[in-house]
Amino acid sequence: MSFVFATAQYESGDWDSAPLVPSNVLDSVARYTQIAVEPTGVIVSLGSSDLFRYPFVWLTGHLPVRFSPAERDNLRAFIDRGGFIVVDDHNHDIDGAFHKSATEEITRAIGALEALPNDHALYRCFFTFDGPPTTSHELNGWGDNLIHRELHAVRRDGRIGLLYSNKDYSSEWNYHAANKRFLSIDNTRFAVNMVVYALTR
Amino acid sequence: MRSRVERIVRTVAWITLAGATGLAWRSPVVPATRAVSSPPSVETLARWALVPPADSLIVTFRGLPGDTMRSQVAAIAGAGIAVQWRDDGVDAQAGEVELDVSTGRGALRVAGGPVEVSDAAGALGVVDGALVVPGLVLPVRAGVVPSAELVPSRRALVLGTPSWESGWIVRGLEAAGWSVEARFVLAPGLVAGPSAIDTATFAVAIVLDRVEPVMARALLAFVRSGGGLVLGPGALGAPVLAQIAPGAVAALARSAASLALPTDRADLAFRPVVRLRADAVALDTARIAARREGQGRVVLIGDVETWRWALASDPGRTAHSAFWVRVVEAARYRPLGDRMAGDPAPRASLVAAFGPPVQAPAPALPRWPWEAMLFVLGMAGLMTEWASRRMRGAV
Repeated sequence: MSFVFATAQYESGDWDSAPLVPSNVLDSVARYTQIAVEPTGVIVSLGSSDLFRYPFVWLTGHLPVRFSPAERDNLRAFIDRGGFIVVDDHNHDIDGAFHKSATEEITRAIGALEALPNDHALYRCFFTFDGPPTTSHELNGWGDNLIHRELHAVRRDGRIGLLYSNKDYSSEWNYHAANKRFLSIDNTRFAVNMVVYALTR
Repeated sequence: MRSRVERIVRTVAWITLAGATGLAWRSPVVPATRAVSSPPSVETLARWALVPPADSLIVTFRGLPGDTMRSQVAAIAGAGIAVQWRDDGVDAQAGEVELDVSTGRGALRVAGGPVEVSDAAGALGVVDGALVVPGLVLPVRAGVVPSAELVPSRRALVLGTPSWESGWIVRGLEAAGWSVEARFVLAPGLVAGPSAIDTATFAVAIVLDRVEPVMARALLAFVRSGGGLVLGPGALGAPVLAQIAPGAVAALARSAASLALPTDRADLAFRPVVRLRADAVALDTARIAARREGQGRVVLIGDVETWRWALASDPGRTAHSAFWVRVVEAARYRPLGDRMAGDPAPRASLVAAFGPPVQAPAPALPRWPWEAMLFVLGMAGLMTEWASRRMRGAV
């Protein structure tokens, strides 16, 4: 009954643009918590019934996203039944192709995104943050060069079902876990909050 | 002469004002005492278990308190709050039973007003004075059990490490109207959720993983005082809980169907419940067993990863919720209004638990406001002295 990190594979776009995020997040969860984890992540097709084996799913990409009908139906059922999916804009660009198309698809499939208050339980359920932690990529000259002050979410019964980020955590956490030792503060701590929130709410 | 009188008046006035200040300063501090209105309700006492405590609690019983009430008051007393009780009719409604075992005939003598006589099938009637009843007449209860005591508590506590199983159990029970709290061990030394458990707050505890020895002992006390305890296979890692479990669990049994998305509970993997204790009852062949421990019940469930059932389909989500409701209903604390009636000496039990009853305080006599009087006199003296000086032209 270990925690499994699943990366969503969808038919359009570049779903595999951050291949080191799963192992890095799993390393942090194992390092800081008592939660049992599977040492490697899995890849699950968003349009297949296998999606319902993995309640925590990570979805990212740079390119435009167009969900197939099966992907859209699965996403809706997944959220309604209690699944948790993180969608991260790998472009960190609110005027970019991924953001515009992904938010359209999300709205069509499960409803409009709403801003998540920065005092939400997500930011306090393990480590304490005063909002979504800033990434080193937000002002790197690419993307929109904005510090994105908040995350967005689609909720079901008060619980986050889909968490949407323009922070580009896919770039921020896409490195080998062994290199954390060169960081003064581990920048993947917020990923632990995401996992703990998903498991406890 | 006049100025000498003025000096005397001024001096006396200042002394009077000082005295008034001193009296006001020494006003007695009323200790924090809260009296629960009579008759106290289960909800009142449950709220008491949650609000910041005062120093003492006075409960007024009108008639014999039920088992729930006694347990809740005892839990509050156990938390270090001085509990006293007032006798407002306990004696008058107490009955005395004499039973001749050889003939099976008993006699009931009522010390005071009418009492309701009932047996397990329901009420037999209301008697006043003495009555010979053929056969067993227990339980006898005073008055009618307050309806609040019959309202089942639907509060549960889930304990373990964060997992999909615990999360879906919480959601499934909440969807069915239960109020659920969770206590998660997030990291070594980091625990989120309630740190104590008692029957005043929770009806049932669901333990999915091994818990620390302190919490295991608390759960043991909880179930023995009437709480319900549901144990998952992982909970048996705690020796204290393994000792009270209805049985043990064998190795994981995974069918071919359990490898696919489950459409039914039968598709789920499970650990068979084996080596049932003599006093245990199998509620579901090989998967669920239960036994009584003290006044509570312990249910051992061999199903693992039932969340897969809930995530697999919409009917599965509904069925998963219904299944867990059935499990906790089988275990949960049920207040039994007639338990205390089986107590041959209910008043003695109350005295043993909470000491002799205290007398209702005599109405306090109105206190003379000495400080106010002295203040007025002092100010009047100062004003008189000041006016006298002004009238004779002095500064």
